[in-house]
Amino acid sequence: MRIEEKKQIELAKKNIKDFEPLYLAYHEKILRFCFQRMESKNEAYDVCSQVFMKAMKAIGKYQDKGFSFGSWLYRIALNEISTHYKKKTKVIKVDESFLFTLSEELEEKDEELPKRLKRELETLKPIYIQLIELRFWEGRPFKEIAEILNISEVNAKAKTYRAIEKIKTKLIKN
Amino acid sequence: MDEYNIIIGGDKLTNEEVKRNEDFGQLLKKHQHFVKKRKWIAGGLIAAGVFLITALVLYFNSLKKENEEVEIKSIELIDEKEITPVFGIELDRKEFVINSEKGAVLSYDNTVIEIPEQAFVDSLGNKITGEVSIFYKEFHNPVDFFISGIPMTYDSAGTEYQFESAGMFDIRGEQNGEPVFIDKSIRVVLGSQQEGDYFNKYYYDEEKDSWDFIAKDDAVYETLADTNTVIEIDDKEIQLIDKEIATIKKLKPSKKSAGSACIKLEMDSNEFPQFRGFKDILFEIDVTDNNFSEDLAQVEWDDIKLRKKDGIFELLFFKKFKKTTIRTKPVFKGETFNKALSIYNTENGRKLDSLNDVRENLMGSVNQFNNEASVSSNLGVFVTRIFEVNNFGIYNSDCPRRMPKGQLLATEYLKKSDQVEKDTLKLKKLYLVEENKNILYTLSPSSTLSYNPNNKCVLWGVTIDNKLVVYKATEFAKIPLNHKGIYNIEFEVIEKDLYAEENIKKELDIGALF
Repeated sequence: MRIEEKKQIELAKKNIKDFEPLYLAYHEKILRFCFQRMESKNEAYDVCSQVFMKAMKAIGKYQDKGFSFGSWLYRIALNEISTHYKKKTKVIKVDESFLFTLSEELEEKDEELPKRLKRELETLKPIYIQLIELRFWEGRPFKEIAEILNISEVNAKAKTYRAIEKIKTKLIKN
Repeated sequence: MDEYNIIIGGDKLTNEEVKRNEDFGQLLKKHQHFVKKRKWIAGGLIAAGVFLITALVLYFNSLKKENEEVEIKSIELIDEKEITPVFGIELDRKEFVINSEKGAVLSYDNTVIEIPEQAFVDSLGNKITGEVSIFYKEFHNPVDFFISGIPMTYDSAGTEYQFESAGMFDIRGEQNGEPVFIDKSIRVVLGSQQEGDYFNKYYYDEEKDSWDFIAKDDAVYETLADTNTVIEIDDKEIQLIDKEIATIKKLKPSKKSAGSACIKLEMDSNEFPQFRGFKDILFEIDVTDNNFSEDLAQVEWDDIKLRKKDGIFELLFFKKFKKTTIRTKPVFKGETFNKALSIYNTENGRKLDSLNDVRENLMGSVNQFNNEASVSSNLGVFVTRIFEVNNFGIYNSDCPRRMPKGQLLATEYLKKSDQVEKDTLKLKKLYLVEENKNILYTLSPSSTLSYNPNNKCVLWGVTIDNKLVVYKATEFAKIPLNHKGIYNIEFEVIEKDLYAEENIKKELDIGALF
């Protein structure tokens, strides 16, 4: 964690008005993160606002565990998204560039790939989808993915590659 | 399984839309509105709590005397869950500076920390090179736990347990003031001060303020003895006997080796009494001697003499002014050997047997002494507990325990003084410590006090204005058994400036318990 960010967190703990620099640093990232998992922009705005509200409430208890402040926010965001979709079908938006990255990883190039991939992704367990998008789309290191999803790093690595293998196998079969 | 709707290439958020949503003032208003609401709810809860306590106090009091009026003093409840060292004393962590490429094996008291090479990455997952600082601190007893402020309770299925600890440590890593992350597991072999196989390993989740179970803790035991004591016990008498036995054994006749070069000498039996009675003694030449050469046989020597030097027989060959010295040993061949052996056994056999008997007796005594010394110098059992550390933070070897039982008291916490009307104490932290139990029982200042009257106990507390309060074991012992009604716990308030761990320890009445 950058020293500047550390100082800012300490200031925010004392006076919540000093949370603003942290908010400005992470707002766009968290909003886009939420929007990728929401059907509408308004839902994303609401959830993003909830994420920061919760962060402001809990900042007093925030402890620097060595991870970036961002990974703490992403964790809150994932929980909020999960709460939001408690009774509804969850949404995951997949960017074309993500498909390109994934096709390279899968060593598959095919015009029908988006359709086929969509089909295969829908059959995966949520944790696998989250791992794939955090790793191959958002390009996060496994250490941070593990922190966000509250699993061990080894587990994050193993499950991500297991997910890729599953998709590969299914794509080859179909 | 959760259902997902995968949308490929859907709508996108523009930068303008992101910017429009980025209004911190609006968010702050919402937050402040929430805080006000929460304070109101908390106020309501405190009021309800005070009401409940009042009802409880009345109930307990009614057990004592039916129509007696009791003055109820309110108790302020303070909930503080963060890890804040008591009195803000920074934990005295030991800093180790290591080369991250090479790794290191570090020692801290009885603990070994094994760091593999290239064990760290930065926040982006890049390998860390160069020097990394490892900060390490251990906590082994209720005093350590108290001063650290680390929560020692464990919630399991909604039930709160108290941790009995077999040792806890805090490990962190930094490079140039920035935290580093563990990429390859660090192995911490924790030197534990508690025996027992009933502990589990836990990791403290600082975000959730709770302990996460890792695995069962299998302690490793090693018996420690002061080996120096054993080495120091030696018997000179045995050494003398061994020397004598060795001297006698050297006299044992040797058989001539097949094909060896030998010389037959005429000897003066006064000069070499050990050979008296033996005939046909040969002196076998040691062909490994540097001075030996087959050419020696071609020389016509002026004289050949035998001497014994440092227990070794030497043959001295003289030719004019030249002297050649060669190691040799007396040997016998054929019947002469059997005869020589028989004479040797007759003359020395009994002596050897007697020396061996004495030696054996002496050895028995020495062994017995050494064993006893070993037992008396036994330093106890050395226990280690092994942790695979994948994240920096706090680790603990613990066993969840329930609160001690025996006596349940409705209490009021007051400041000890000479005044008739004592001041009520507002406590933010309250702990119970029992003799010979490695547990820091965390109490709620608003709850009844449950403890075992058969054990010595001490109460430690921290007031809302950060003062240490202690209720000593001697005071505890005065509480009547089966007391009905409210019992006034009159704490000694430590007014001294508590600026260091040692400073606090002196005030905690530890001597009464451990």
